[in-house]
Amino acid sequence: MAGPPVSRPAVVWAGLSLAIALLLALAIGQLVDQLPDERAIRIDQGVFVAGDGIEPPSDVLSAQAIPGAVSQALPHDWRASQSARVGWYVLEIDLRVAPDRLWAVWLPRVAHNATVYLNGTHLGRPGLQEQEARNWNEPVYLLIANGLLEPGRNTLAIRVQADRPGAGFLREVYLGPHQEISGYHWRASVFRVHVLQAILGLMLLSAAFASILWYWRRSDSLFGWFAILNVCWVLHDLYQVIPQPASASILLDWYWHATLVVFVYSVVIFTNRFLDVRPAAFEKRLLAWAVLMPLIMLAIALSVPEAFYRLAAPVSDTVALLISVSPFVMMSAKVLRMGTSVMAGMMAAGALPLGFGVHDWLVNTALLRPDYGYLMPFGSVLILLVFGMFLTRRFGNALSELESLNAELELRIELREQIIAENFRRLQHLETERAILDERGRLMRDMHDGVGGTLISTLAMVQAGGTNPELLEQALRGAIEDLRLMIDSLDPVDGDLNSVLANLRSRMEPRLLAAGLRLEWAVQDLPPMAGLGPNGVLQIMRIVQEAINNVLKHANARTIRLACGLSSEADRAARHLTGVDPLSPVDAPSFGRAAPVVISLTDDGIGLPDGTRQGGKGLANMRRRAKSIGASVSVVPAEPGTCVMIEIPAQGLRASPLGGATAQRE
Amino acid sequence: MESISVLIVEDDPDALHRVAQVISSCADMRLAGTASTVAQGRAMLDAGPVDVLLTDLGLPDGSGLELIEHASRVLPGIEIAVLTVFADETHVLAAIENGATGYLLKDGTDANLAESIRQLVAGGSPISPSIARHVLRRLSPAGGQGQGARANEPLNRAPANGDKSLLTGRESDVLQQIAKGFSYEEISHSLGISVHTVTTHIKNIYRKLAVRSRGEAVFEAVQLGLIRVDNQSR
Repeated sequence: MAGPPVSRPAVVWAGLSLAIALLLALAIGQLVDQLPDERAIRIDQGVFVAGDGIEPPSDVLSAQAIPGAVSQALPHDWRASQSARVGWYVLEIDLRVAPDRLWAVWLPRVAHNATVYLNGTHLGRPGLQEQEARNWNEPVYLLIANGLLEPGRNTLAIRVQADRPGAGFLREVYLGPHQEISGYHWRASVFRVHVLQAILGLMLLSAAFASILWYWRRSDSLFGWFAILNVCWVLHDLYQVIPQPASASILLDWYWHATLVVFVYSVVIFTNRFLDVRPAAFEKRLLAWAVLMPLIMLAIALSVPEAFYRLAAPVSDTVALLISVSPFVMMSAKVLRMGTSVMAGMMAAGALPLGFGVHDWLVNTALLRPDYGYLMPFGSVLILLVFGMFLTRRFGNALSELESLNAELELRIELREQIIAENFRRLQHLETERAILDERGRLMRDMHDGVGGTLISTLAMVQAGGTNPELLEQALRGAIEDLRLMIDSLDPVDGDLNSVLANLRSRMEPRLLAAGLRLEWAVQDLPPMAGLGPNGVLQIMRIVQEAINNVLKHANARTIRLACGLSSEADRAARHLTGVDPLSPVDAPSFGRAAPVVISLTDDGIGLPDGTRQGGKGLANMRRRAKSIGASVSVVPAEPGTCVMIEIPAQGLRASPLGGATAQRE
Repeated sequence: MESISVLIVEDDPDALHRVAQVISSCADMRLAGTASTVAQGRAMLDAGPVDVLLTDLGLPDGSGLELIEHASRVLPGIEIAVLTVFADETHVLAAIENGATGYLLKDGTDANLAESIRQLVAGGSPISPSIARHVLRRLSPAGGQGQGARANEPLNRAPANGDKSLLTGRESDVLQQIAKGFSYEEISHSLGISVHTVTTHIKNIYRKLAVRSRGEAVFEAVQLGLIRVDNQSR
C-alpha cells in the first residue's frame, strides 16, 4: 500500500485524520452525555453519610442532624475519600407547587446499585436491592407516584451500594417531568447499553468475516490478526454489557484487566502486520507478557485481593497503556513518511480508542471521575470503518493491478510478435539473398565451364598464331549458343518439359541443317514435371547439347532423332536387353499417373568406338550433370549409330531448394 | 521485280558493315542507307520510303523502339525487323508491340540473313517457341498482361462468353504448336493448312500485339489525363 513518498500531503492527511478523530470523540461524548439541565431540577448538593443501614437514616427530614453526615457535592467519587461500601445521600428539593404531571427521578450514573426514597417512600420495585445483579452502566430512572411530591421542601434519600469498599459513585441527580426527561434516560440507556451491544455484535461479525478472508488467504495473516483483535476487544467489553452481581466478583475484575492485556497484545501484533514489520524478538517478549501478566494477576487476585486492586491491576493497566502507545506512534511515523489516505484513516482510527483508553485509564487510576463511564468500546467504530475502506482499497488496487498487468502482457505479446515478425522478415530476406547468391553461383559455374572456357581456348588459339577463321567462327558461335541456352533456361517453364525441348530444337536445328543433318522430332505431350527449375532445365539442355555436339563432331550421321515420352517397366526392360531405342509413340499419355520420362537422342552414324561405352570426357560430363539433378544418362549402341538416353524418375528432378523455388515464383 | 530497299540502323560499325555487305551482295536487295543513331534513322525514314528497316535496340541517343514506332506510323506497310543477339522475348515482344514484324539474329550466317529478309518481305514473320509462349500469355482470354494462362494448361478451351478473345482459335492453335516445338511443316500437316497460312497467322498475331499495345497506351493516357476523348466535338 505504498503511496507517493511525499511528506507534505502525508502530514496533511495525518492532521486531518486526527482532527476527524477528535470531532468524533466529542460527538460521541455529546451523544453519550446529554443532561436535561433546562428541563429538570438538577440536584448537585446534599449530604452524605457512610453506613450500612438499610432504612433511610432517621430524622431524614432534618438532614443536618444525621450523625456522621457531611456536606457533599455531586458528582461524588468515593475513591477520593471513602472506604465504605454503602452510603446514604440526602438531597433536598424545594418546589413551589406540587406538580400536576407525572414526575420522575433520574440518576444518570451511579455505581453500583441505588435505592431511592422520596419523602420517606421507596421508589421503584419494593424490596431490598442488595444482591441484585445490575448493569452498572445503565442509568437509573424511577417514576414518582402522583401526590408524593409536596409543595415546599421534598427530601430524596438515595442509598448507594458499591460492589466493594471505596468504589461507589454518584453523579448529579435530576428531578423533573417524566415527559421531559424520559427521553434523556432512554437515549443514554440505549446508547450505553444497546448501541454498545450492537457495536460488539458488529465487531464479532467483522471478526468472522476477517476470519473467512484469512482462511482463504492464509498468507495474509493481517486478516487473521484483525479477527483476533476484534474478538479480544469484544471479550474485554463484555464487562460493560452484562449485568454484574451487586458484590464485587474479583474474578470479573480480574477478567477485565486480563482481557485488556490480551487486547493490547493483539493491537500491537495487528499493527505490526499492517505496517509489514516483524520484530520477532519483541513480539516473543510481548507474547510472554500477554500470557504471564494475566496469570500473575490471577495469582495475586486469588491470594491477596487488596494487592490486586491496589498494585497489580493499576500496574498492569499502566504497562498496557504504555505498550498500546507504540503501535499508534509507529502508524503515525509511517503516515508521515509515506502516507496514503487509508493509512491516515487507520491512524485516526487508532487515535480514537487510544484517546478513550487514556481516559479510561485515568478513570481507573482515580485521576478522573467516571462521569462518562468507559469510553474505549466506542472507539472501535472508526476502526471497522477504516478497515472496510482498507479492504475496498485493496480490492480496487488488485483489480487495477490486474488490468495493468494484462495491458502490459498484451503489450509484451505485441512486442514479441513484432520481434518474431521482424525475425521472420529478416529470415526471409536472408533466404532470398541466399537464393540469389546460389543462382549467381550457378550461373557463374555454367559460364565458367562453358562460354568462359570456349573464349579462353579461342584466345589461346589466336595467340598461338593459328587463326583459322573457320575454327574461330565455330568457337564463337558455340559460345553464343551456350549463352542463348542459358538465357533460355532462366525463363520459368512451370514444369513443362515440352517447351524446354522446343527451345532446344529452335536453337540447335539451324546448325544441324547447316551441317546437312535431318532432325526427326518425336516428342510427345508430357505431364507437368516436378523440380523443373532453371537449374534442371539448364542441365537437361546441356546434356542434349553435348550429345548433339558429339554427333556433329564424331558420328558422321545423316539423321538424328530426338524422342521423348513416358516409359513403362516393360520398355525399360527391353531397353536394357536390346539397347535399341524402344520408345514407340504411346497411344495415350497417362496424365496424372507419374512415370519416368525418357529423352533419347538417336543417330544413325558410325556408332561408338569400342571401349568408349563407359568412358570419354564428354560422357563423364553428361553423367555428372544428370546425377546432379537426380536423373541418369546411359549410352547404348543403336545398330546403327548410338542412342543417348536421359531418364528422369517419376517423382521429377531433384530441385535444389532454390532452383525449384525460383521456378515456382513466375 | 524491283529490289528490296533496306535501311540499317546499328551503332556497332563492324556489325553494321557486315549486314550492309550482305545486303549489297544480294541481287534482289538494295541498301537504302545506314544510320547509327535514332536521329539519323528518323531523318532517313522521313526522307524517303523504304521496304525494310533493320534496327538495333540499343542506340546511343535512345532506343530502337522509338524508331520502330516512328517507322510503322510514318511508313505503314514497311517491314521492320529488330536485330537481336538472343531473340529473347523481352526485346522481341517490345519491338513487335511497337510495330516490328519480325526479328533477325545478329549472328546468323549471311545466307540466313538474306533469306530471313526475303521471308519477311514475303509475309512470313519469324517466331520461336518461347516467344510463342509469351504471346499466348499476353493475348489469351484468361488474363491480360502478365497474368496469362500457364504454358502447359490445356489451352484449347473456348473463350468464355463476353471475354474479348484477341486470338482466333486457329491462331491459338498455331501458337500452341509452335510452343511445343513443331516446325512449320509439321504444323501445316497436323492442322491441314499450308505453310504460308501458318506464317500469315503469325504475322497477324504480331499485328494484334501491336494494336493491343497501342490501344493500351491510349487507354493509359486517357486514364492519366494526357489525352482527352472528346465525344461531342467535330
